[in-house]
Amino acid sequence: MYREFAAAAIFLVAMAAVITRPRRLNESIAAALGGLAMLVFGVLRPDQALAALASEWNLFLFFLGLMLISGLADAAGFFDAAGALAVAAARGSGRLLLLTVFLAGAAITTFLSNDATALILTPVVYSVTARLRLPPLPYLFATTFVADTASMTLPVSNPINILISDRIALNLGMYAGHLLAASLVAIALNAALFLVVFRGELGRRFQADWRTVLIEAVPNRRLFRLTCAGLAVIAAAYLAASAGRLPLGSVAVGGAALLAVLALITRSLRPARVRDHVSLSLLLYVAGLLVLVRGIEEAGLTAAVVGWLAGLARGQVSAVVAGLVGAAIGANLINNVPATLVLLSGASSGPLEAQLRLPFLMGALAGADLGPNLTPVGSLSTMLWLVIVRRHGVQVSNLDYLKLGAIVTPALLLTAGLVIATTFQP
Amino acid sequence: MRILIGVAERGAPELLAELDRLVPLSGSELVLVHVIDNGARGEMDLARGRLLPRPMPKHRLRAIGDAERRAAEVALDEVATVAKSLGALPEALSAEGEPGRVVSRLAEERSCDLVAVAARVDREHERPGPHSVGHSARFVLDHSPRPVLLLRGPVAIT
Repeated sequence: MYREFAAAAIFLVAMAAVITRPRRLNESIAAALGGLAMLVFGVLRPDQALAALASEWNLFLFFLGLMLISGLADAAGFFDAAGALAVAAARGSGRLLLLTVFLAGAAITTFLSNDATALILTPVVYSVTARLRLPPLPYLFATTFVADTASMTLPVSNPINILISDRIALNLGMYAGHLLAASLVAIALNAALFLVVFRGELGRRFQADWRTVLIEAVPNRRLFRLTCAGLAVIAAAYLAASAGRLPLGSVAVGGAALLAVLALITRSLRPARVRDHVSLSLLLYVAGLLVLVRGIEEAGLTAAVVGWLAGLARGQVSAVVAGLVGAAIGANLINNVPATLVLLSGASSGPLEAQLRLPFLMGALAGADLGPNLTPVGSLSTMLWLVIVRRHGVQVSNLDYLKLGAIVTPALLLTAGLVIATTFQP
Repeated sequence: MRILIGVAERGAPELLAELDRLVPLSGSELVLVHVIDNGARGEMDLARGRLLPRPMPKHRLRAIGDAERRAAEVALDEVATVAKSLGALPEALSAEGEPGRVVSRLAEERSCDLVAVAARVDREHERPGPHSVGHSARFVLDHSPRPVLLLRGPVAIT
């Protein structure tokens, strides 16, 4: 009883500290201290904690590779070029620009993950709207929403997808079979809803010499071309590795090395630029979470949560719904990474029937990917997005975000859930 | 008469035309003020040391600053041209800070007889009612020591 109580208390205090950040405490420190407390209070033995960390080496490598790839691509002007292309394709229409920003965000999210879109594309889009003197808010909302909405497309589109795919040995064919259609439908629906919600703010036309924008965005053409080729190779390698069930973390780190070599060849490697994108505290945060969740797993609490959700799952379709709703609510209560870890742990060890595990986790993946759009605390990228746009004087209150999330997110979840459910037997 | 006019990236020429209909501007001195909002810089400090990248690399901040300044220059040039065509005597000022606070302060410093602000920027069909006055315009209404004229419709103040 002591163990259960201690595990639950440590987990809840650590999660509260991650979300509320008392005295500006860094989330990664809060999560790491929580993980340490699991050891100090005897919930976990050190070897169990180490095993929890070691089993996710692929995830750590993937995060590291992803940050390096984003940094190297940004230094080559890739994201600014994406912004310039979105402007060119919009042909002077504010309405069309919303769609092209959506498309650029979806493509970047699909291959470079949700964080690249929320953190790197957002300031690029802000610069574009400032330059074109367009109202920034619809476009900034578009980048943060598409970062989550498109993050279900491929296993590499969101680290959460890798977490789940790794744990249940899902190859690309199975992944796409259950999730690709749902993802594409969700992206299209999100764009359509935005066109309606922001219809009063998109009527302006603009004039832009996008070639000038592109030339300014790309400091070194040779580096840019090589980086684009390198990114295409990385995208193909991701697909091949997902299909063959090879570790995506190694592909990401290898891809980063490839881009670094290309930058070296053109004598334009800028380590300071790349360093700006790498955060070791993110790795510490994930490590802390893994130990925290292992603690409550050992105490049987994750099985209890999933056991309760499993009670709602009578067949494969209701298992999709249970996973989707559980992950979406969990993502908005405690953030999507820990929510996924809890459900994954419970689904692996809990009372879920074997044939319901896959539909439950496919639903959970969709809920954890799309659900964060509901509130600003749903995903880390959204929280950081809010900070970025407020810094630039765009008045977005949590209530504004919540109102938009309340309109768009339930529709996305419902539609994606229905499409995923059709991929299973009724 | 000296009138201070808040100029946003969008809609300032319309604001001026609307104002001219109510208060003929010919011969008036117009203080055209554009403010780049940096009121939320504290948020940036909050973000430092957070998880992912220290949120804004310096080159990105520079790019955004350049884009904002360029947009401000174009907006001020545009509205100054309209002001001259109406027979007014414009003076363009660019500043950084919280727009409502800067506009209220400059109205006093420049001894303006009137401050003209738009209720909201960016919403083309805002109806009168709750929340129809934006944050910056609300601040000017509350704090300006000089008389304020609030304009509605597709006009703008940052």
